[in-house]
Amino acid sequence: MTTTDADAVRVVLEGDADAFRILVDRYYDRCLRLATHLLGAGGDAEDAVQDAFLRAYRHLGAYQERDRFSAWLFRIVVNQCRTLGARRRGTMQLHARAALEHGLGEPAVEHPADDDATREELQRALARLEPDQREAVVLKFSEDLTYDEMAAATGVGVSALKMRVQRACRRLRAMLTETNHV
Amino acid sequence: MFDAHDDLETLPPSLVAALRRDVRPTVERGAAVAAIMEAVRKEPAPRARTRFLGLRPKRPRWALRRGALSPAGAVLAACLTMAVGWLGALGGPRPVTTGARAAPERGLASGTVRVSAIRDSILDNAIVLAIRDTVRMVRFALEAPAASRVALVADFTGWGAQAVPLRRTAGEWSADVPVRRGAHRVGFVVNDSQWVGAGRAAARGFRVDTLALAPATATADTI
Repeated sequence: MTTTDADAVRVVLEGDADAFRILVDRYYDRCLRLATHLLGAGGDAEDAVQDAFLRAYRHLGAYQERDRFSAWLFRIVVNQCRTLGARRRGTMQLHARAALEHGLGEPAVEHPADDDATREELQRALARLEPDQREAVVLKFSEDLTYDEMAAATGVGVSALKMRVQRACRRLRAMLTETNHV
Repeated sequence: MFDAHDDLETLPPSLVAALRRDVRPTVERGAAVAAIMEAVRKEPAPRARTRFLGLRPKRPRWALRRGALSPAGAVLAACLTMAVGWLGALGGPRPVTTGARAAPERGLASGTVRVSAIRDSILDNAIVLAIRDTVRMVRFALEAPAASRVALVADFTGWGAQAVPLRRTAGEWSADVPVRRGAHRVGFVVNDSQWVGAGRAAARGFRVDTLALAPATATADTI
């Protein structure tokens, strides 16, 4: 029987720190994907994820079971990425450069439908989006969050998020249509 | 192609798939997770938030969103705004404390104090501004044509630490200053050397005035 997130949190709060590994194992990949989309490839994403898990552990008592743990955790990851993104100068340029130099990382599992050109162009296009639009479109499509969960994760209103997603989709289509890779 | 996916909030499936594809960490995954757990073990154990009477305080979802105002909140804000306006209207026209009334109380010659229909009160060296607003703009003016520099000092300026320089306009020095709710004591420093309390200003040939620029819910008093 799979341990639910709430059960794992409860066990951790009862003093078993090792139970936190269940949550780390379960969400590490998604958190890394989210951080990589937001910050670009490179060491920053992994640092952000590690810091986010530590913050989540410190503040685990604030987690309320009625919320999805993933959404609560993503909020921390998003905040951590914002902090890291704000620290470094020219986030967009760095992101773009990192995407060009390293790509977004290789797929964990190669899939016949994988299209390298699509992936590379997508990373370039994501890097050219405004940070708030990139955040919205990544949470929406990469992490498949609802708008309410996105609002909880970002602290931005639902209507503003919808607008950002629309604009991001429009810009992504425009940019990727120009290059005609998809 | 994108022609088939021109909805406002959708992306082509190939892009969505690319976005959802896992990325390979630069550090081996197991090592990364182990590093996180090692750091976690060094942290003090988290504690569950204490509950009052077994209840966990719950915030509605709208309250979690920064910048969002619930319908109930909007109605409450509108009611409060209307109530404030209504209470202000109840106050009626602002009473004008004229120099003619204030001067004899302070033993000043009535002719030395300007009477103005729009001015709230005359400053004394121990003036009390009973301001009912949280913050309001107050114009402090000192008539000193011969002065080369005038500054306002008050309890809210730290008595000189953050003195407010007054600007000259046709012989009158004035400055608009945001003043917090409460009673305040003020004075002026002329030419960086002469401290002029408002009560003794008339005797020294100065004239002092205040003009509350905010709406009429505040009163000024002279002691």
